[in-house]
Amino acid sequence: MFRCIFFRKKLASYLEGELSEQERKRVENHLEGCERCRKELSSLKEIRTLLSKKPSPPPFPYSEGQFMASLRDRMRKEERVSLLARVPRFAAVASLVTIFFIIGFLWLTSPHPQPKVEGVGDFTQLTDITIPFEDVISLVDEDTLLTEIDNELADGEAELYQFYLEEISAVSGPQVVVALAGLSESDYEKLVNETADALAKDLFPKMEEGK
Amino acid sequence: MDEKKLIAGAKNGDESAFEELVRRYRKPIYHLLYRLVADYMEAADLTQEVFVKMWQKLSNLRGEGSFKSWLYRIAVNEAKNHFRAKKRRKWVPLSPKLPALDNPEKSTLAGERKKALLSAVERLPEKQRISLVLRVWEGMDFAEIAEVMGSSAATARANYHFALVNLKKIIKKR
Repeated sequence: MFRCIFFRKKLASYLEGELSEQERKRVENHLEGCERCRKELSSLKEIRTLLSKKPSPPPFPYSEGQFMASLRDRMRKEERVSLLARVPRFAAVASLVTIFFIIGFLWLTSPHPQPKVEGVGDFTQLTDITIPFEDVISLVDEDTLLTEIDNELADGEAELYQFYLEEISAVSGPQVVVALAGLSESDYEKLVNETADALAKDLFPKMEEGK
Repeated sequence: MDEKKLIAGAKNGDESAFEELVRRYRKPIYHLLYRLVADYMEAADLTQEVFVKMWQKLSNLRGEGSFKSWLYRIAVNEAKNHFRAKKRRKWVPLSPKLPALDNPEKSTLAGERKKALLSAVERLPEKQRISLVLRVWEGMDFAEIAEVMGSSAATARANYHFALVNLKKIIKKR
């Protein structure tokens, strides 16, 4: 019986001549000794024979000319819909490009400061602290700096301080800092100085006390 | 004209090449759809859908596989969408309005059996019905059926096998 289940699954393919030579022989060998499977094959063959005559569809309900005209009409409608569907996307892209042009034009024609960052490591420039240290450090690569501070604090405080000030310029860049903070050149210099001062107080309280 | 040239022309937007392809495949696609959906007006409307889709998707057609299989796949998918839209379910009795697949042959017992069988084909689950139609009436081998249905040849073979077995069961019940 188990063997019958295995072979019955192959009977349809056997009828269609879609089995390999080896499989076909195995099925035929089984059929010779199994009446139930022969009956199954016989009924499937009857179904297959009844199906063999194609059902003939009624004639196509439209003439070729009607069909082609209707198809052309339909395709043109689809193309219009497709074009209309593109309009919002096109409008969005056009708006973005226009906005970029306006911003670019305003940026190019307006005077903007090019701060010169000098002497940021000069301790003599340290002045009053008005900006919290956390706000300033958030403008730069905080993780890198804090890791460096943790690692290097014991080694050389002065070198670390210099490193930090250079990082402000290197990572954020003077223009970026100005753009982000919306600062003028003088305000930027003030920011750098205040940053240095804040850092100095934060990292080197003893140095500040002794100043 | 060579079919490959027509396909290349249609892909490049040549409407006359496209229309020649439509003329060549209009009847075969209509016949296939009629055998699948069993309604000649619906089959005709779906035929138009198939060629609209063909026009839209021609740019995606790659060299591998045959154009016929690709087009038949579009047709089979349209038929599937039609089945879903109609919310036909397997083994649900057909609406009395649905015409039989073939002209009635009332005079003979064989004619009655055949009529019953064709009506039973309409009740087969979707994939079994498609496999049966492609194999028996479109003369495709299982590899081609697999290409059209987006399945493996083994799945196509199994669907066909169960289609025959289920037809036998339906006929026995009558």
